[in-house]
Amino acid sequence: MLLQQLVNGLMLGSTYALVAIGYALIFGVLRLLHLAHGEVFMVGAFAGLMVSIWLSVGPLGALIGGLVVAALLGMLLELIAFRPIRHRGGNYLAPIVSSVGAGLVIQEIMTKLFGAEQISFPKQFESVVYQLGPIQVSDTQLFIMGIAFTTMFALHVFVTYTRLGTAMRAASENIEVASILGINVNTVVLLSFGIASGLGGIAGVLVGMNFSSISPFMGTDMATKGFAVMLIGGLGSIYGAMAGGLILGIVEVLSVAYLASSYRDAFVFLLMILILLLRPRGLFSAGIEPGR
Amino acid sequence: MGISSIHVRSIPTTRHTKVTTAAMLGAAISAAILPTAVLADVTIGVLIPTSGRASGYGQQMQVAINMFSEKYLDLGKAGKLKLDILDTRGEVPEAINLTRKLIGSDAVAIVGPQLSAEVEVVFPLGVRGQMPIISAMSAKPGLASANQPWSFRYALVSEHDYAPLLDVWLKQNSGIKKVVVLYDAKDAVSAFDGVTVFPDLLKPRGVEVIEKISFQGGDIDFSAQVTRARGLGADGIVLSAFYNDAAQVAKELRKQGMKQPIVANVGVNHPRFVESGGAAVEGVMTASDFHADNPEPAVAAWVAEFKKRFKEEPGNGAALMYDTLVLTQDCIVRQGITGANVAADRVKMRDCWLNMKDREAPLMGKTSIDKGEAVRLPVILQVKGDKFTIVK
Amino acid sequence: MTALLVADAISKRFGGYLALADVGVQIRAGDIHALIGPNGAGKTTLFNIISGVAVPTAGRIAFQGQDYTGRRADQVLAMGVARNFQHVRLFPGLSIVENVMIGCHARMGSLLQELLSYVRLEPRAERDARDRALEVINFVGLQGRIAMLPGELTLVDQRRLEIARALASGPQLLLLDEPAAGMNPSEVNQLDTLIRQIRDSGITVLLVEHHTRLVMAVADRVTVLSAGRVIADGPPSIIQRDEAVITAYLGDSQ
Repeated sequence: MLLQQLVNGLMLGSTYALVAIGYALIFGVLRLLHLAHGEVFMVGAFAGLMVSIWLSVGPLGALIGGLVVAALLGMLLELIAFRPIRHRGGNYLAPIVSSVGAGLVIQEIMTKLFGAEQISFPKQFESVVYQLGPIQVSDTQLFIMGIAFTTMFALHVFVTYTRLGTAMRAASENIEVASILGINVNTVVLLSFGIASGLGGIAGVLVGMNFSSISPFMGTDMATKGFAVMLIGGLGSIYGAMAGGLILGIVEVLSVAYLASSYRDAFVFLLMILILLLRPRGLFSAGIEPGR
Repeated sequence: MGISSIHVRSIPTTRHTKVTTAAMLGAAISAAILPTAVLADVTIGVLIPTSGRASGYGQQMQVAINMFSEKYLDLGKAGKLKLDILDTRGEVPEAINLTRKLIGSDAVAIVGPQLSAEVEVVFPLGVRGQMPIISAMSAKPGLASANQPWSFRYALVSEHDYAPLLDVWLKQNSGIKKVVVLYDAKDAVSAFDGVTVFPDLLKPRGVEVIEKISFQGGDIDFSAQVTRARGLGADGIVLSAFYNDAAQVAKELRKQGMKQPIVANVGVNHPRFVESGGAAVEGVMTASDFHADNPEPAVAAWVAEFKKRFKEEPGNGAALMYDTLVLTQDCIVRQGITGANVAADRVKMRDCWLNMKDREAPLMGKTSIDKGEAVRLPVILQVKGDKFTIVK
Repeated sequence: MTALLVADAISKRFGGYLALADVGVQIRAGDIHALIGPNGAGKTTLFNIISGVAVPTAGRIAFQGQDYTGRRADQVLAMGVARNFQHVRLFPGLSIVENVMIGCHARMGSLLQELLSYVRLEPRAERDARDRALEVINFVGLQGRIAMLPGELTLVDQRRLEIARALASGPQLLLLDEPAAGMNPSEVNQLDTLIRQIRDSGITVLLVEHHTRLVMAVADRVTVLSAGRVIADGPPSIIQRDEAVITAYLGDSQ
């Protein structure tokens, strides 16, 4: 039973991690919260659904659809909700407000297009269940975990071994020096939005598949959780977001399994407070210099 | 979920957005052209939410009121029945104002308000003002019985729904001895049904509730709760939640290999439950006051008539309102209420409802009143194929 | 010999304070050119203007005959003018080789071009950047420590690392802002050697330094600023005997 619950938690947690990485990437370069990220996640889920219905492609096609549409949406948000303020020297915090506004607009548009009710993913995603000793795993679950961990590994390879990835890390440590050293900051920020949103889109499709149902409001809770995960993991740290997501997923599931679901969120935030008391900068604090 | 705080009996079959101008206009005109008193007219106040967040119910009810008005306004020797239809906007303060206004008028009864939040504060006003108040739709447990002898409700409260439901369910699935309850802790009615009403009814039927497991409506993952339920060795499942979440939980149950029969509270009575639950909700049983697909000739004719006037299938609210008005009109005739002595007429109306026994209502059949709450056989529904069908 | 960099009639005003007044400097290709002066003379301000971090209030500045007044720091870098920072500014979370590789970014393309290079499976730029980084790391003497983080280095080695990062961009002019600060005499000697090696590899050096002994030993030419004005300009041997310089430095020469 515990093993099964751990599997449940890992699966839930891997989607939290994907969303939280998005926050971390954007926070890393801009030191700002992207408060429409939950809506990007939601649009990714819808895009995956639509692609799989219109083009009748399987789960992988849906994933690619969700990834591409979410990444484009994320980059569009950078261009209309963040960059203009940055370039005109607007208030440092103004993009937080503009991103909230963008999120509301996206949610409204999706509600108009698809209605406020939940929409079901097609039957083709309904799954076969395998019995592995005491654990039951469905092929959907295996797919979700496989994709989530593959995506995280790919991101790790990208930021570690590529020129652009190194540039992103440098910019997230000190954007001013990075700019002086010839890193095109606009490129890096745009790329960060693209990757962050693409991951959010993948998470949206995965959640939609697992839950086989999506709605224009599914991003709201996810946004809060993703943000909490980033705090637990360490502001701007992508590895912290990965670890924090898995921790949150497992803690949620265990608190449901051994306490009561009503206390789940309370327990999660209690955990967050404890971690922040012990490690005020999160589990994996990124390269944020004190005093910045 | 906005609906969760309203505590209504059920959910209309489709979303209501546009105001049914034609229906409302029709009502306004018919009210205006009613002949003024030749004899003393009998007035009934009707409180419905035709605007505001619950306007979907109110607009359907208005259609039912129009249908009622065409058939039942002539009281013969007693003159005409006059309906004073007022819009509470679904708001508690407005419901209080309008109730006070009607208590001070010559109305002999108030049908409404409809939302439990309104009813909760309006029933005590009726007791104090000695005015019989009959809510057609509110179903939050205990409201009428706490405000006797002036308060009545026509919708079935949970226990009156679920007692016959469980009897049918247990008969169909003989051998159920242990059940696990899964309920939405975020919705007050679902939580109350899951924690109190179902267990209290299951115990005398010899069924043990092993555990009550809560989840949060609107959540994206119910795997942990289902895994927990799986280990308990239940042979039946009680599901208490709104249709969306209930469908997701059912899917997760089936996904994790739990094939036990499911009985669910009234929250699942919505086409979307079947749509989104698919094969996972096949066989799920629930109860309802009313079912628009009922092949019963009287009901089918009424539904056809309703659909001619309105773009949607009638929901529970409209049907409950229609029956409530018919029974109230019947009380006027039976008790010889004339509107001549309002205080005495109100007592007569109260007694009629108070002592109602096996009275035949046009849509929902034999109805009695026990401590202010209606008692009758609900419609037992079961998912078969792609829709709810009636279990005889 | 023609001038590689010409700063002409540069003035810089901060509010009511005139930091630089009508300063003219010419740096010849292949020189180690030192810029000295007492505290508050305007050395760092001029340094920032040359590197594009600050914009002059008046005057023009040209590199290889091309006016670049008002260009951004990254554009100045791309032109071939690299710098270090007086207070070391490395990326603490990146390894030593990665810090240096960042210096190779000067000619980074647009997002689309960069992404296309991955699609076309052309990691050549990547490999080139790494090779170049390893080369300059060897050059400044940090070989064998490429996987360490900057925080694990001594301050002196951190300065070397910054110089390596600046060299990685392949500059023609290297601007060094007080590289000897905090060094002991033997470290200063090593720095002396390094600066000469840089010059000998064909890179012109502009050195802003307080350490007079180093400057007099290494510089081919010296410009002296005082109170925002050029008070002397010439080879070290002449500058050492200049009356105005001695007056300006009175009590401040060591």
